[in-house]
Amino acid sequence: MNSTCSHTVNQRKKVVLVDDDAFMIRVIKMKLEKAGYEVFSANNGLEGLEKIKEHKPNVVVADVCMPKMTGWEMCREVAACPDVAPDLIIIATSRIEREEREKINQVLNARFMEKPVSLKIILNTINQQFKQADGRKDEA
Amino acid sequence: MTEEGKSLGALLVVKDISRQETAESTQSEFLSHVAHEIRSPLNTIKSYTELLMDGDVNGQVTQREFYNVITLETERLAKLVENLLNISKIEMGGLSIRKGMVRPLKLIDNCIAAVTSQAVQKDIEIKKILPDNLPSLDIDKDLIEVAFLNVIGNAVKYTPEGGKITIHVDEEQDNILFHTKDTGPGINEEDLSHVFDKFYRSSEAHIQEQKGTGLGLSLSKEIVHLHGGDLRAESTVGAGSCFTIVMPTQTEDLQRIFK
Repeated sequence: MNSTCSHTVNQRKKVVLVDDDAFMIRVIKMKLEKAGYEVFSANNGLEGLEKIKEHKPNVVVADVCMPKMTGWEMCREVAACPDVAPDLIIIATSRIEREEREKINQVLNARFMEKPVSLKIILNTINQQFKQADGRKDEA
Repeated sequence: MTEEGKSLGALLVVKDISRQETAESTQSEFLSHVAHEIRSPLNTIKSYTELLMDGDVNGQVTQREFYNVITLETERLAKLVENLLNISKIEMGGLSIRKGMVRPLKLIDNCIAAVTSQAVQKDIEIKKILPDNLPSLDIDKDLIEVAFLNVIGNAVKYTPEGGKITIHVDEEQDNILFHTKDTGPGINEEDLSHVFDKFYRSSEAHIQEQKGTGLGLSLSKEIVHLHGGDLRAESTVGAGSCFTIVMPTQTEDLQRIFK
């Protein structure tokens, strides 16, 4: 599968990564930037929320267990500000957090991925989101 | 009931299950933490391997860095499993303790030797101050070394480059006190009150930068307690921390502690 998206430099889609694990930020950023996305990163939910408000990204990729503000708390805050809500939010989580998943699904377009996550699946999910969005625009 | 089927009274059984519920909730919280702590290094190992396998990492230096991260995370995972097993054994009372007489100087030297390469890499000086004629300790050498190594290893981990660690040993009544003092950034009051809690990790940036299992100090405290001793922490933000292991020289029979 071709995992590279076809945006030109000035049309680059924005992604905000929120993870307290610097190792993970590094590799996800590397993978997404190589595929043509413009990536911003934050190392906790609070900082993530600021980055989302500042850059209004198309996609957010977030961890759950983070200091200062968890991924769930950040999602609730984002959902409360519709003008900055991304088209898609990908949350790396675990099976036991079913209740939280359902709540977030009601207010945001979210996909949940169980750790250990696959970088290819993250990238393909993001690409798929834009493919669908672009398809809808073409139809209109 | 009477022969005619009439009720003579009622028996009401009330059972307080609040303790059971608390224990279940604590256990569930603990398992959730364990799952998270295991998944984090697995996540890193999987992602770094994926990028290397896909040929997304260019340059030998970067590739070596990636292999290094994979090795470090694998070691962290192994350490986590080892700590969990030890904690679980201690809490279940199933840890077998093999006591023997150990010289404090030997104990300290072994631990310093284990962290020397990390200290040298960071240009950290480790100084020891030991009085003469310290009595030997009747301890499980391997277990106590785990406790000491966690404390001294943490000092090396959190002390910035060019810093200094002093291991000062002295006697006080029937105890030997091992102070490990560092020139690190110190621990704030809130974090200090949780420093021995399982899986507690400070949200301070300099702590988050360092990888840890969040179990080392908790395990160390349990090990020291098993020997009738104590582990204490003092710290001042900006002025470093001091962890003190107190070991009794007149140890009780460990079998009696277990009872």
